[in-house]
Amino acid sequence: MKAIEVSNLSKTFKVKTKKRGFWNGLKSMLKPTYRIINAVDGIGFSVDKGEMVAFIGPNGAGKSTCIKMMSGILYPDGGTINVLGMDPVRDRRKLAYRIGTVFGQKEQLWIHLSPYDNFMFFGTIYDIEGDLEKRIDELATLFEITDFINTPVKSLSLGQRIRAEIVASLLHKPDILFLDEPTIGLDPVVKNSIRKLIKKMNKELNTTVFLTSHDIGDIEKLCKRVIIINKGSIVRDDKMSNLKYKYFDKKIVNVKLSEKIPLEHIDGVKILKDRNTNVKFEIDTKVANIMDVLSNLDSEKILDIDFANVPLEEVISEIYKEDT
Amino acid sequence: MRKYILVAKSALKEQLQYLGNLFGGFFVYGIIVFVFLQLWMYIYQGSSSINGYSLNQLVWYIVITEFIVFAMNSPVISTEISNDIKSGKLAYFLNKPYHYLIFVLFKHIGTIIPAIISYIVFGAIMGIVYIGPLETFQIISTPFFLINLTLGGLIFALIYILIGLLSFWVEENAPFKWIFSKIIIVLGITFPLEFMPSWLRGFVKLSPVYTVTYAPAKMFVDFSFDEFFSLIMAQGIYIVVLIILIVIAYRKGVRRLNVNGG
Repeated sequence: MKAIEVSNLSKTFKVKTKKRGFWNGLKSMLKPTYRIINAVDGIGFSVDKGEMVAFIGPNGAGKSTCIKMMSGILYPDGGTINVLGMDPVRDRRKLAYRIGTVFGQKEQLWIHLSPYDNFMFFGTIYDIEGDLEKRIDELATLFEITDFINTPVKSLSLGQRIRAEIVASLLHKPDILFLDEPTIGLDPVVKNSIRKLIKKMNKELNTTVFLTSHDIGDIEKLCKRVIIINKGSIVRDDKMSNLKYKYFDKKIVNVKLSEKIPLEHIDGVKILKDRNTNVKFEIDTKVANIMDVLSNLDSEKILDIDFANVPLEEVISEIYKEDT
Repeated sequence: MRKYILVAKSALKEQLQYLGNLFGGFFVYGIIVFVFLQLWMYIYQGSSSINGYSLNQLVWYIVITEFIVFAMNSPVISTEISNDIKSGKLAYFLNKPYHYLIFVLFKHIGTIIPAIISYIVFGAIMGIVYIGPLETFQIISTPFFLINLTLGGLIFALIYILIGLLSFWVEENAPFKWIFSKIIIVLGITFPLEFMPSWLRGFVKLSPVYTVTYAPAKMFVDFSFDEFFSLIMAQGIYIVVLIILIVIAYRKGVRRLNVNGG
């Protein structure tokens, strides 16, 4: 069962351009010139119910524009979107009852009210039937916000506020949760706890999660599938494991030696660091065999050795670069 | 409807935390009416009535018109709409199960409730201290006056909402706000319609001044059923036209919405 189906989606923005200089400024007042930006250019994908998908790309790639079109906020210029069997533009308010959105950079809560008052507000706005207080208690416990549930939002820390934002967007039990950079600006401990909570929520409630983030940790820990977009088009849509497999034929080797030895050039090996007795190099396993490379080092002089995959962060920036 | 009442309640709850802010407004309100009091006392020297208004009526007229400008305005309608559009924050209201415009109107209502209550008390005391109780006050006219006042406040809010929506098209809507507020101040607060030259009256009757400030103030100081009905009619037409314009502007504007940061 599909939760989201998008095909051939496009959106352009008209941006005013201004030339340098005073006279040009005056001229552009009389005859403004515009530049058309293809923010989203023929995107298509689908997401299954209960799936957790990372939707990533460099700044200005069109991620947030896509999310906003899928949640009915922006009007697409072309293509079709089907979210839970509805057209987000036509059925925006009907769809609002079935989706939740968290935008890490914009607060949706009333900042002078406490999270509890906010939850009561959103509960009523979403016509939640049954015991709203019980629902608030459940989510407050799950997201560990009971300690500050009665403190005005403006006095909360960023981590506390984001947790309250997520609870507010989950009160109406949405089928899909759109998370737009939910962990931006948070410390590692809070990030981790938010990731755990999102995962738990996905498991317990089978909520579909559609996530954009620049934080590789979010993507790696939460999502099994990654859609990478750049300049408004999809450049990869793959399972996380495939992505890793495809790009992880490069290994990073850290070696600690008992004394410094000269390093010979070998095809497929790139020396990343050579500082006295500490050596770090990257082996392209398609070109060079790991054992052959290691045999070039005097095994008696190796004190410690460590193998690692290329960090996902590098893999992704590699993909971004390939497509620019 | 329950949702929107809750919006007003939440705005009221927020506002109750800042009751202290009202005191600054009382001070300015008191000074402005005092200045007009001095001015009109000077003009009325030796005459008991000008253009059908006594000094007592005229001072109370100003108490009411100033009350509308001070108590019935809020940042929700005067700045938030425009900021929501320009910053792209409007987007985050659009995917909620309520209508943004009704949300804004009720948020405004919730925000001004403390000001309305406190300014009524302050304005009544101030008027009595300055010039004594209103000599032409009729208890029977109170509900009718309140209808005019409510509709005047609604028109005031709708005009600000419409000006706020202009932000979809113009970078800066402050000039429009400035023009509107100056029309209200110059033509709507200082003196009633009857004091204006006849050529100006036609223009003023078509302008928002007639329905926003003149209607309630006139009905408070000099009530008559005939005038009440014609004022109600004018207010009704104004409300219908404004709602139509607002809906058209909003529908067209939302399609143009640009959201900063993607």
